[in-house]
Amino acid sequence: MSFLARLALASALNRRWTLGLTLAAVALSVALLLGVERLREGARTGFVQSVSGTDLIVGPRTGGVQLLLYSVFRIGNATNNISWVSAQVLGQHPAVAWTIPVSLGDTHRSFPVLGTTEAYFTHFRHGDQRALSLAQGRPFAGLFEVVLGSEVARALGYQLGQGITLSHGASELSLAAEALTQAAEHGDKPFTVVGILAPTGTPVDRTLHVTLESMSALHLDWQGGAPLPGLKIPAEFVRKFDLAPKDVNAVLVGLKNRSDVFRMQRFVNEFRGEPLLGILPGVTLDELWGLLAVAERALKAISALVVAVGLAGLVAVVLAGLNERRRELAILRSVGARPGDIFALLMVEGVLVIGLGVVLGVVLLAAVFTAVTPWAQTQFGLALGGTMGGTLPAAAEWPLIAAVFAAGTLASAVPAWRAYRLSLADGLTPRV
Amino acid sequence: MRAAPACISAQSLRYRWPGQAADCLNCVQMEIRAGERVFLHGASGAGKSTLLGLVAGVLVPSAGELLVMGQSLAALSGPQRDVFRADHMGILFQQFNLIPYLPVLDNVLLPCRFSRRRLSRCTQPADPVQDARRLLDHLEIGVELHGRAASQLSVGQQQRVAAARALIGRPELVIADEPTSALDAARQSAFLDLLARECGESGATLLFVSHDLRLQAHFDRVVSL
Repeated sequence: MSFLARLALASALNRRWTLGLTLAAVALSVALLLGVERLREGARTGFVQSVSGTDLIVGPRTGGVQLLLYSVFRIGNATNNISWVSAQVLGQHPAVAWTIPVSLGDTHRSFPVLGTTEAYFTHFRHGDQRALSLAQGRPFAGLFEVVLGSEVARALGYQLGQGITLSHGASELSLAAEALTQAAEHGDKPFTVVGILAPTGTPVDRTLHVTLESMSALHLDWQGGAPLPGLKIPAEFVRKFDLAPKDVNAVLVGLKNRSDVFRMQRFVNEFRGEPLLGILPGVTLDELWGLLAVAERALKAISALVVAVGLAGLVAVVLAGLNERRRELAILRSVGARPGDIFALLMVEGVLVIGLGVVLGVVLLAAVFTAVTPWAQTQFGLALGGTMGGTLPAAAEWPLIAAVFAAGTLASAVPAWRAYRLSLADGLTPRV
Repeated sequence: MRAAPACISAQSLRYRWPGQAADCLNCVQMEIRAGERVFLHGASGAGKSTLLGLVAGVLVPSAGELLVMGQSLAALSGPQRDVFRADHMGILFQQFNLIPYLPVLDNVLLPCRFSRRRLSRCTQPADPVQDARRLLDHLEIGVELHGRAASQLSVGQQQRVAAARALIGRPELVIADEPTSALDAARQSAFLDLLARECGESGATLLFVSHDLRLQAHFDRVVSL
């Protein structure tokens, strides 16, 4: 048997270019299949990790998913606000332990700016109920102070004490485009970096945090999304104005007692002052997955099809090569190889290619994910690390790998069977 | 020599290819004694290759009896015939006799990989390479070629390597199906001398098939189909 394996190896090496290309196809398809699965898992974990301990998210009447996306993940735009009065009423509700106001809209070098209060640093939880901690400096205390997420500081190379300017609007434009929209810069009111947060693996890492008052101060001389012409209020004078926020985009709410959550949700949804929407983050996340399920299934189906194409390619290449190898098979028969040996020879070859393809695919995927994880973190703030950074396949991936291997083995049986039939029919004189 | 037992004996041997209306071999009578060097002659299409297939046990007779070394091949199962062939026969084709990607030495050793008997009949079963090298040496394949890939050899060299492979482990019967057809006349003659000499040395019966009667001088006897 070991001789057959060596023979198969020698034969495969002899056809290393065609088999090599097939091997690459199998490896790529395996990487794609596992990659889609890993991305899906990673995105889910990332999303679930991003908010914990928040019982309710309150925002203006909008879609629940939309509210969740912009308030926690900084994805999409807030289309509406809730008044600061409503936010304060919420905070004073007897069932409520704490509230974190969320005010979005400004950016810095395409990183979102979040206006909030000190409550953010004491009450916000992520991952496994973990609080935020500062790697350097302190939380913001006053106007024009900013606390950076770890990724912001890393990507832009910012240090404590550095001065930065914010831009109005969620600009995902390049620097060149930003230059064109100089008017939308809050250049007259620079901020000082007073703190840098420790990495969390959540959207917090790519957020700049300022006080709600700073947010108001920035927009004193603005109206309707643009600076008021002729009106300039220099930074040193803003303190003379009332900087109490007028509205916020959402409020994260923590309850004293989790069992009050539905009562509280009803209170929010029936709020008298203005139309409000209260969502449970977990429930809304499930809603989001429900929405994405179709796309996920489609992606899965496509990657499964790609694997099928890869395997079909393998079968086609081996089958096509078989005609040229009829002489080789006849020689083996003449020296005593049984048709079963011929079958085994072809099977060994197929399994060899599949096995190598799977291993290469896993290695390729690990390499790609290792390379891409930092980028994914910067671009999407999603914790693609953890499960995805791992080089070894996760437990959930083994059944997939086994399935590919089994399908490949089954597919290899096709040319093996054909070779078996040929060697029976040809005997010692192949009709080439 | 007269007392030598029959190596191949065919009685009323018939073979018809599946789906054909007429017999390919019709009532063949043949008796070949052990150690004989027989030239089997027949025109193209006379059924030479079919007869070789029957003797080698790749095909099964449609009718009649065929004994090879006293063994009725029809009585054996397919796998048993495969083992029998590997154990007792060395086979030479017209051309392309070698596995192109294996080195010369490994090609010669192939029968020892598939047949325990062939391995045990080597002078030193623990080290069949010795016999392979000796045979290659006798067939005038220099040591420097032993490690080469078979595909790098000339046609004449390839046929001599194939002869070494057919002879290793001293099989009782060597079957050669026009192995010289790709060689020029001078090389044909030299090759046949070598083959006949080596068969004689190992005591093997040689069944040589060709349509070319000029080659008959190298053989003990001619059988026509």
